[in-house]
Amino acid sequence: MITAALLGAFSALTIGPIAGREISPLLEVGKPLPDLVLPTPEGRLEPLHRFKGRKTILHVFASW
Amino acid sequence: MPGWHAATKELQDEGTIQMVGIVEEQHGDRAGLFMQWKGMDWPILVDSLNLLEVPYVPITLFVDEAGTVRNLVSSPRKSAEQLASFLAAAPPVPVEPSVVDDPNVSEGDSEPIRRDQRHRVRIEPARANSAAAWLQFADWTALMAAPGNLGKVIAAYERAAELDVQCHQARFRLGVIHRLRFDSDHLEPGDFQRAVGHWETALEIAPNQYITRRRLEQYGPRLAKPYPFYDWVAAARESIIARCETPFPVAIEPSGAELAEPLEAFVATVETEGEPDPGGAVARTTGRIAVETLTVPSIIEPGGVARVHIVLRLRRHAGAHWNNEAGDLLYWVDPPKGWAVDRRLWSYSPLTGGAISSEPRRLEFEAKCPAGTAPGEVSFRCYALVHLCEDQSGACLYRRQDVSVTAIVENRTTDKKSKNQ
Repeated sequence: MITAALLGAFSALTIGPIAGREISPLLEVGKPLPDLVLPTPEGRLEPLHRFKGRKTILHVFASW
Repeated sequence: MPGWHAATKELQDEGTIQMVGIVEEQHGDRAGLFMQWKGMDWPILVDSLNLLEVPYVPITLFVDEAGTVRNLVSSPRKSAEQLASFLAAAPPVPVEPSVVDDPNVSEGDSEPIRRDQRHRVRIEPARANSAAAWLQFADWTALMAAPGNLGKVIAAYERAAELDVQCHQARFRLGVIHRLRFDSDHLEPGDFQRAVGHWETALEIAPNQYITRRRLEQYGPRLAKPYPFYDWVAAARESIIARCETPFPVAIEPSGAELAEPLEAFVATVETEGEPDPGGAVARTTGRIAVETLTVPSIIEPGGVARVHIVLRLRRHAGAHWNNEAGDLLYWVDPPKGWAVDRRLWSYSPLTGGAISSEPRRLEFEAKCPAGTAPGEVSFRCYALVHLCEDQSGACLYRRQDVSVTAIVENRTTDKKSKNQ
């Protein structure tokens, strides 16, 4: 049911390059997120681990 | 990305998942404007240095409650099924943080650091003196450094690049930091040119790194652009203002190549007349303006096209400002014999409002090198006619700033082959 609903919602999305295991040496399925600290657009530093505790979708993107 | 937002909005609202954006752009604040335009209120983090080491975007990571990556997706075609499976998975059993030997500081460093501390300690890179240690030190320093202190960051990345000439990450990040300093009040002469040079080296080492490739395309000629990078900015602001909101502030306004549409063929201007000061009669600016010029790419192949960037900045001690009421800045370019340019005469209107201003003025044009050009340097004779006002006397002046742009021509393919023989 959820799958069917989501399939509809995702159908409008564009297709990106094919993912492989070589995506990044720091990102691997089954491994923890890298312990990075990154700034917000306002300049405040936030660790990626701040988002632990809930299911999270991290979308790595650019506005162009 | 707006597709992801729409597809997961209900799940976000009911608290089933949280969405987080990580921006792989030189100017992360522009993504803040983009998010506001699209009505997306996710938290976003800016990864200008590409610390995540992703080769392209978009990439989506499904991360469970314990912070473990459960899936990596770059094709939305499979996203729905993977998201459903991710949502259905039970939370993992909590695990204590592991103690690991950090490969980045292994040489000469006997104390292991916990994975969750790795980026919170200040490593003394001289102890390890490895490229990895200097890279890590530079990464951390880059996050903490004020714009006036970026020289230390640059020195650390340069050390990493010296110790490992194949370290494309150090080269890419050197480019990012040089461009960041170029955009600040603490710029050093040649910062933008060095940024381009480091990105070009990084791309030679890692040609499949599309994040690096996009940085060059962002400032490069229209023939090489996959799309206009920031043509959406004006429409976004208009839409946000129409909603009675204040647009997210952007520190560096996109301009020139960042807004230009891609082209499939070079279009040369046929303009030959209209030079505004052919006899050179207008008095010169006498040291009030600092000029920086560069080409992207930094080396032009015979038959190739480059985007020429010229930046005019009022020197701090100039004691003058731009006089915007008197008229626009006029620009003229004389290309070398045989070269074509996309324009010869144009005017520059300030992006900032107001009768006076002192912002850097960025001028760009494109030039096509004739096929068969011998390797070497060629010069473009250019000049700007500017309106200035002296701060103390209030005198308003009309002045000419001569600019010489040097372009380097080299047949890289042939030269590389001959060097390898």
